[in-house]
Formats: sequence, structure tokens, C-alpha cells
Amino acid sequence: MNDADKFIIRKAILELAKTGTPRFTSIDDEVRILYNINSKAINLWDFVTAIGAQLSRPPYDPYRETISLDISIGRKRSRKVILNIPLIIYGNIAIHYSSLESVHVALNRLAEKGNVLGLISEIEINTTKDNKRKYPLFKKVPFDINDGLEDYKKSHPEGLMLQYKDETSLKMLQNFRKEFDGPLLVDVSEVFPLYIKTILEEGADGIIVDTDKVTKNERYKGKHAIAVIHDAKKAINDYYKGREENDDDNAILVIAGDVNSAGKIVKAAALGANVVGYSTSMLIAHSNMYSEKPSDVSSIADNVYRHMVGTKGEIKGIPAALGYSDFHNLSPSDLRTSSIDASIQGDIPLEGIDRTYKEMIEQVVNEYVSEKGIKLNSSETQEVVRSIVRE
Amino acid sequence: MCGICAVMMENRNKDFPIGCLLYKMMESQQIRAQDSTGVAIFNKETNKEFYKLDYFRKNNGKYNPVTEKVPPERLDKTFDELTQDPNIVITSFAKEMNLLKDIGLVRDLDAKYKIRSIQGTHGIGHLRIATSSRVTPDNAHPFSTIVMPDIAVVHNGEITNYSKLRSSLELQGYHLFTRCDSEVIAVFIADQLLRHGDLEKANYELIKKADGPFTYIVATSNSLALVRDKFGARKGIFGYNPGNRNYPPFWAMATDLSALDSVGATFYVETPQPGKPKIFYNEMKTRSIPN
Repeated sequence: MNDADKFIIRKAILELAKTGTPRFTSIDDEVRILYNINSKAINLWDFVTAIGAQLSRPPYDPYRETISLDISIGRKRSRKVILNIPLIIYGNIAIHYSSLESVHVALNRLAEKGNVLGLISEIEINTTKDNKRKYPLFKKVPFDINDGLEDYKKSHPEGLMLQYKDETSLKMLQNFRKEFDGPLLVDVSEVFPLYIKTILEEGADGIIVDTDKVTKNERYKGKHAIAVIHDAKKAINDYYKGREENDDDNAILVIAGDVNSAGKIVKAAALGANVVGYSTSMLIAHSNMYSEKPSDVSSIADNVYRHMVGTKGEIKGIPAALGYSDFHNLSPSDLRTSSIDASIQGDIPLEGIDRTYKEMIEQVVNEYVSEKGIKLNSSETQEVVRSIVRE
Repeated sequence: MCGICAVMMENRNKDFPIGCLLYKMMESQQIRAQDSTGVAIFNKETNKEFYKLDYFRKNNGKYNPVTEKVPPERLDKTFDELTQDPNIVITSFAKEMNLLKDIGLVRDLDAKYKIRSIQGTHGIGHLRIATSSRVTPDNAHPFSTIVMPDIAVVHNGEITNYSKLRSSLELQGYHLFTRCDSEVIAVFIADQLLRHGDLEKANYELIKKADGPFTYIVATSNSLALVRDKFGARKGIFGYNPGNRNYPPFWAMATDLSALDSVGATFYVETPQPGKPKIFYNEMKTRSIPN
């Protein structure tokens, strides 16, 4: 921390001591003015790196290839769905039927090789006897549906995905929970970060958060996807705080949106995502880039298949290098960042210091308060810290 | 490259100074680690009415050891007070256990606490070389927990997903005093024992959840469990000494074979299978071989 930062912090404390009310300008804004930094949005993913504390520890070859990616979806009372790759293809926008068919063919081929991943889809795929679905389908249910579940049961989906819009969606969730014993995922992007506790109490098996949608909301304007993931995980953790459920009962967090490359998947998983919702349109676009016949179902399916196999290998690489045998053992402690913004938004320790920016501010505030003999109780001190880091 | 060891006397024999056996085993493994040392020795006769709380009070970088006898009715209040104080690190919560640890060599620990003369039914010992946390008395092993009394753990290796396990325990409301991955083992096992009381199941659960290369020994008031990670990436062996006129039979566990040699536990020498806990109960009859 340099003198300019310290000056701003001192000013914040003295202002509070003098006026009794915390300041509303963040240190970040003042630092930007001081250093004349352009306040345009920065892609914070690029500042976040995976640095395991155990990199200095001896690798335990020959076992580093045995990295489990399996994830079980479904809490105690639900049927379980196991994915061998923690990805769900999530159609954020309507895609052409032939593209969906390509994804279907690719997912079937992947499942045959023991690489089961999920698909969230509203559109029905006409499967023939020879081309039966071999992967779990999470049937997408629009939030304005008034009918019962009968239509959705016809396609025998392994799970359902509901979109939560407001309080009226709660009734729908309760009804569906009564009628459906498979995993129920709830997309909360429209209302995030509200209702998560209620949704989990009503028996949802997982929460889906689309970072693209959330960061367009007024509440998250100017914030980055890493802040959304951090807050989503915190909301789920807060629900489980003090409870004795074991891991079998844990609701999963599915992060969709701008997480669409192996590096981002690993970082999102370390921040708390259990499964990543991989955008269908991105998948098709990515696969089509290399296709000579973009409309050919078979060639697109080939590319989707290869892309997913490649992604699987890549997302195993970092946990392996960190000495993990399970992808889901990644945690925020494996991340470091070189950006103050990323540290504040994702609660990620800064590189070389191994403490978050908030922890540094806390220390400086405590030292200054103690040195000057200013009387602040712990909640007031926290208020100063929060106002400085603009939490 | 820490060194761990343990001794379990047969037939609940509590009159033999097993501190002496632990001392020999630790001395023979001192080459492995020299940062800090500790033992936990169990004796049912030591304390019947009070719980014994050992803790360090940190003051200007110094660690002052304090022992407090607490009656059961005052236990919750005492824990509340002590856990609120950031300068307190509780190292042992016991009814039958005597846990002693400090920085330095095993001979330094003996000079300070006379560990060679301590009698008991079973005990564990540890020699530490610091890898992931600082060399301070509170980071020395064995680790205990305030979740339930008479649990101690010595550990060699790394729990690489320590942060994740620690967060899940903290979410359940457990208080951890250090940043050492070994403390997580003690709290995790205690949590499992509170759920179902089965030490073997508790260890299987930890093997399933914990990642990384490790061997640890967990001691409770009537048992010892020697556990290796699922890949067997760290050493761990056990052997038997049938005893003679001068001393009773016992089982011994250690990191290095030299430690078993030093106390003559050279019969039925085996290494536990990776991912399969080997459990020794102090009700065992003479020359019984655990399954």
C-alpha cells in the first residue's frame, strides 16, 4: 500500500470520527482520480490466476492423471443425476433445431465414452430408437407456465430447470417439487441475489446464475462475473451455515454466462461453481469456426465432440498441477489476483501478499485507530472498511 | 517430511512409562524433522472430575502455556470466553489425555516436561518440519480440538484441499485455532464421531474427502488409527513387540522402520493399505493381530 492509499484511508477514518457517519466514496474511485486511471470496464478474469499453495510441494506422480470430475446433482430427497464432466450445455438463446440436433449427437457420443454432461433445453429433440438420448436432459420450464407438469413429464427428463421471476414463481416451485422427484434447478438470474434462501428451503437442488444477465441488473452494474459467483456461493453457504447436512445434501451452484473457456471454468470452480453452464450458442459458434459445412449436423457434432473432449482435458490440467485428485477440491485459496478490483469483488488474495485487499484495509484501519486512540467499536471499524472498499 | 509414531500397550496396561517408548521412537526419527515436537499420552487414571484445558496465551510474540482445570458445568462459558480472545490458542481439551508440545527437539521437550516418565495405555508422538505454517508452539503437533475431549492427531504430509475442508467445518460452526492443515483432521474426525461414533467410518470419510499425500495417526481415549491417503503417497508402518519379563507387549506405529527397531516392535511388521485405516483398540488381547 502506498502513501496515497494510506492518505485516503486516514481521511476516511478521520471523517467518520468527526462526523459519525461513514463516507460514501470508495477508495477505488479516489485512487482512480489520483492516478488518472480510465474507469472503463476491465475483464477481471485475466487478472486472476490459479496459484495453489501446494505448488511448492512434491507432486505425487504417477497419480496426477487420476483427476475426478464427477458431480452429483440432487439433494437427499431427489433422484441423483451424475455428470462425469461438470458442464451443462445451456441454451441462453433459441438456436436452430439442426444445431440442437448436432449437440444431441455429440452428447450421445460423449456419453458412450463415459463423458456424461447435461443439456438444458426447452425444445424437444425427436429421438429415434437408434438415437435415444444417453445424457441427462434438464427440461427448461418458462416462468409464466400455468399448467401442471404433465407436458414436461412426457419427454421423461432427468431434471427440470425453472426460471425464477418473482414471488409468484415460488408457488410454481412448490408445486413442481411435490410432483417431480428428480433434480430441480432454478435460474435466479432475474432476481439475483434475492430469494436464494427461500428457493433452497423449498427443495431446489441447484441454483443457476447467468453472470451476463446479472451484471446487466442495476444492483450489479459495473461489477464483474467474479463478484456474482462469489456472492452466489456466499448466499448458498449462508443457507447452510450452522446446519449439519453433509455433502450429499448440498445444493449445487451452476454458473452460466461468460464462463466459456477452460481457464474461466477452472477459475469459476475455484470461486465456488460446482457446474458450469456452457452456452449452446458459443459452443456451436466455436465448433462452426472450423467446419467446412456449417449446416451439416454430423460435422458440427464432430467438432462439438472434439471441443468437449479437449475442454475436459484442459480443466483437469490445473487441479492436477495443484496436487488435487478431484476437480471439485479447487477453492478460492487457490486463486490470486494482481488487481485491486478483482480482490474486492471476488474476495481473492493479492499476488505476492496473499491477503485480500479488504484484509489489508482492515489492518491499516485497526493500526491507525489504535495509534491515534480513536474510539471506534468493531462494527464501526467494519463500517469504515466497507465504505473504503465499497462492498 | 515430518515423523510420526504411536504406541498401544496391550491389555489396557497403564503402568508402563510409554513416554519412554515414544521418546526412543522419536529420537530415532529426529533426522526427519527438527522444528518442533509433541506427544499426547492417554491414562484413564489421570483425571476424573475435571476437564483439562491446555492453551497458549500469545503476548508480544511469546507463547505462554496455561493449564486450566474446568468443571463440566463451567465448560461452555470457559470456551466462549477463550474462543473470543484472539490471543488464545487452545491446544488440548482432555479428560484422560496429556498433550505436550513445543518448538525444538525431542530432548528439549523431555527436558521441559519429563515425557519419558509419563505412564499411559497409549500415546502418539510427532516431529515437525514446517511446510505450510509458521514454526510456533501452537503449530506443533499433536493437534486436538474443543469439539470433543480426548482426540489428538499427528500428521505427515499435506492436505491439499485444506481450505475447502476448513471452510465446510467453519460453516458448521466449528472453531479452528491455527492455519495448520493437521488441525482440520482433528476437527473433521471429531465431527464424524459426534455424528455416528464410528472411528473407522470417520476415517474412511476423511480419506474420501481429503486430497493430497498424507499419513496420520488419530488417538482417542481407547483407540489409535493409522491412516494413509488413497494413493499411499506417504509412509506408515506398524509392528508388534511381544514383551518379556521387564515390559508388557505392545503395538507400535511409525513413519520409519528404524523407529520400530528402536523399541523392538519387529514382529508382524506391515504397512496399512492405502486408503484403509488400521485401527488398534486398547481392549485387545495379547498377540492379537488387527484385521
